Amino acid sequence: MTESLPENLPEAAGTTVNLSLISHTNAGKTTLARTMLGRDIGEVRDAAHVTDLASGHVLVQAGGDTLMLWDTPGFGDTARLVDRLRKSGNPIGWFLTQVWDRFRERPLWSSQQAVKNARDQADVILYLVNAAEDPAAAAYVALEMDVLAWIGKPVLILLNQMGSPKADTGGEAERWADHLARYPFVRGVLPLDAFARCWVQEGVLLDRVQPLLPEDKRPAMERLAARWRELNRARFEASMAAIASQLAAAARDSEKVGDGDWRSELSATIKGGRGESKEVKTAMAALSERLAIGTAQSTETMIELHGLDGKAARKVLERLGKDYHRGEKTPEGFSAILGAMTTGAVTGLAADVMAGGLTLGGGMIVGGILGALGAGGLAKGINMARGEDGSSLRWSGEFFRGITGAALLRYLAVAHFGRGRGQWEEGEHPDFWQAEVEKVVGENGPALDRIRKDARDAGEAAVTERLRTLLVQMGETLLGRLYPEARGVLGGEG
Amino acid sequence: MAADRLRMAEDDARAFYLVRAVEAGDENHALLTREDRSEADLAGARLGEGSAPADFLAARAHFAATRLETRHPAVKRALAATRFPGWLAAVVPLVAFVLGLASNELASGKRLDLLAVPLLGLVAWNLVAYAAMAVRSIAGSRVPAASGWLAKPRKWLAQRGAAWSAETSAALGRFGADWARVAGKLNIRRGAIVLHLGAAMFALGVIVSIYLRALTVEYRAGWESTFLGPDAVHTLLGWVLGPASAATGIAIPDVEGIRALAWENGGENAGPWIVLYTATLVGFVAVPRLLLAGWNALAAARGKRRIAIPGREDFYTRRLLRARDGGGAELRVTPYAYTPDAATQASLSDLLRAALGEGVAVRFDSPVPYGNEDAWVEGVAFSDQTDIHVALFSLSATPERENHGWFADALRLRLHKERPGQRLVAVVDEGPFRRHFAGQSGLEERVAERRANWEKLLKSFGTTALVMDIAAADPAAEAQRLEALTTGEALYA
Repeated sequence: MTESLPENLPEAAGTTVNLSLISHTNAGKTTLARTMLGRDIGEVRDAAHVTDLASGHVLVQAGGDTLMLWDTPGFGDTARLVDRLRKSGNPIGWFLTQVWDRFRERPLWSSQQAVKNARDQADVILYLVNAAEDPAAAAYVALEMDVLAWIGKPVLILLNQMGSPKADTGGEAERWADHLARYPFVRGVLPLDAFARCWVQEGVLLDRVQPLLPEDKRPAMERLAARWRELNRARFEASMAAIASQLAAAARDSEKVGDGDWRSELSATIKGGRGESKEVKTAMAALSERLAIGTAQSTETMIELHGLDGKAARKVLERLGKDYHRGEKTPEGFSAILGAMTTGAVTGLAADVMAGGLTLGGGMIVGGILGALGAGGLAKGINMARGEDGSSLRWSGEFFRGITGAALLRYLAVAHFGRGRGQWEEGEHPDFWQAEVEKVVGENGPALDRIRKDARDAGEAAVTERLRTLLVQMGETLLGRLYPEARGVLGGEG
Repeated sequence: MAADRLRMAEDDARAFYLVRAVEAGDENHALLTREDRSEADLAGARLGEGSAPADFLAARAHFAATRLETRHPAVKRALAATRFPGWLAAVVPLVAFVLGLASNELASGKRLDLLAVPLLGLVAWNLVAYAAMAVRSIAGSRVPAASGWLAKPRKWLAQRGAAWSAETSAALGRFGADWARVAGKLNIRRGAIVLHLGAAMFALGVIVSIYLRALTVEYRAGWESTFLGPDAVHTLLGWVLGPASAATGIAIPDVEGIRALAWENGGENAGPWIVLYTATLVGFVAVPRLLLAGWNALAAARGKRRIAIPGREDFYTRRLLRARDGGGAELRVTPYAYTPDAATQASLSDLLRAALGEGVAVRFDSPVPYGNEDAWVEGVAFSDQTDIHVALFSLSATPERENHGWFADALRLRLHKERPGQRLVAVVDEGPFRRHFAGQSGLEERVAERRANWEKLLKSFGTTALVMDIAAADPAAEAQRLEALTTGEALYA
């Protein structure tokens, strides 16, 4: 057996579409496969020839139709492989005689496994390139193009190892497209970094696959792509709903304080650091604690929706905390709240997760939130509302925008989290995300303010629903701006 | 390669090897300061422009060796220890002659025993010696460089080293090893002269002593034996003394005559027998041994004027000669599956200059395409002028045994075979990788893991890898690493 099939594959009444991930060794096929499948398959290490057998995995099913993703061994010693291919008049005979002969030469044998899988199984080949290398220097690409030509299947180029998500990956894609333009079977170049890709990019990939398939498989692929979109869309909406419910609770939340000159008490609290009014302090701590619990819950929900385990979740949170840490240096305004909220709240959350799952212990999270407010945003973060029955503290409009932005950033972090990383973790929260989030929140600021103002009087369900609708639209805008090429994926059913 | 070999007189060569061993290992300039070295260069240069390379090197080496000798008694003793003790050639033959004279107490009183062990034994022993020499010359003699008595100076130097500084003992150890290797054959010849002369003089001593005593004593010749009868004795004497009998015309008696010579029958006057034995010893021992000694003396005299020293194929020699002629080391950089940009090339050149001196010339090959290593290594032509060959890789690539590893290995093997003086160094540029993934957390671990993979792979192919961010390297720190790889101990690796 050279391939392992998943055990529960239904007897194919429908159509199976096969995508084979192929590349030079150690380009990151297994890592990308893990990310796309949402589960840990194979072994991941920074070395040549880690994967030595081709294995197929179900990416999505629709009725009797199945979309399979094949992880294959990488090509190695490509020059010799190509040489052998050229010399062999009868490729099949060559396989039969050489596979066993060459068992000792692992690179060649691995290459043969990949070739065999692609030739026998693939409808479309996804050829992964290491974008860290210069196309001109990665000479094996040209050699492997010869192998792909021999295999004779349509090929999509996926750019992996692109580094941090960039505002514009067009240049890199174009460089590779130009480089590979002379190969007619190369039908497109897509950025799809195993560590920093987003689901909408996978959607683009599926859309690009469909026209490359044989005529008889296209209807099935259409059904599969639709099913895939449905699943991912549902996950996106569920994530937005989780955020909406957290934000609704925060918008409606308030804490009573006794009458008095609250403003002077509040300013004393800010200036004195420790605060003179115990009442105000207690009220703020109670608000913060509830916000912390809400943050933790919505994050937990998103992490679960994305199928990340505890360890992965912890990494997401740690990185979020680390990457936006410098936001604290901005002393005032929205950025300060956004940065500090993300950093403070999430660092605490990570500590909880580290302590053994999401315990919602809260202590550190509250500390984080208070720290965030103390860092410069307290006066803007807290509002006092005078009601008929006295005064109460609420989160201010500006602070509400801040936590909305922080929640969207958290969503981006979770949605981009790749699997199967090796010993290292990759930071992938570039500054332009924050800028884009700020922009989207700014554009929807008045709508957010209205919802927050109405929140006290409206029912919780109604507030949550209004927020959910708004967040879905904001999320779409955000993803659409980050991935203009994926607007079709987003808009398909929105 | 043999044509490139430089040759020197023994004393010059000894000084050369000593200074080479010191300069190569003495990185801290503890034994020979920079000033010493440049003054030595000047001393060599005084010979004038266009002087023969060997003369320049000899003059330079003598100057430096003199400095070393006067400053470090250990060096003086080491040099003395590697000189062949010439007095042996006088003392050993003299002692052998005296022993030969003394051995004439061979017979009891006035009896010349025809089967006496000293006479027959002398002949037999020399026959064995000739047979051994013949066998060795047919089988081809090999100079045992690091074993047997040749290794003794080295061991002695190393043991004495305990009392010296680390630099001194390391340098002298290397010198001892080098010298045992290059002067081994010469010293074997000298030993052979002494032994041949000794053997000849011993035989002559025996003869002279017999004649001296025969003047005043009447020797009686006869024989006795527990096992041998007259037949066997006749045959034996026929073998041993037959040629002499033929040469002198003195007949050997028949079996009856031999029987009559038995002591129980009283023997006979020993005069003819003494002549026969003298002719035999002279013909079998003295003359051939003197001829062999003479032949070895000629060969040694020739050899001592022509000790081989490493020529331009050697990094050390090449560097000295190039320094004299006003040029620096030459480096050849061959990038594999990596196209270093102009800035990287310039930066690497700067680093190499910082390591090996301003005069360094760096030449870049056009990159070897991935997968093209077989053809490239097969077709590459090496230059005598190159000192160091740098294989340049990029950390962006995953190191693959069958490509990157094979390239380094094949290149190293070819250099080793065809240009043993050139060294192969692998440099892996981590710059492109770092810049591509800049700003990502965990980058350092990732670089470290890759780096370890590269070092491990290249090490398994016998090549040391230097991983650095070429464009952003700190010249001081990297230059030291580069220098350590390209000079010094590696000369003796």
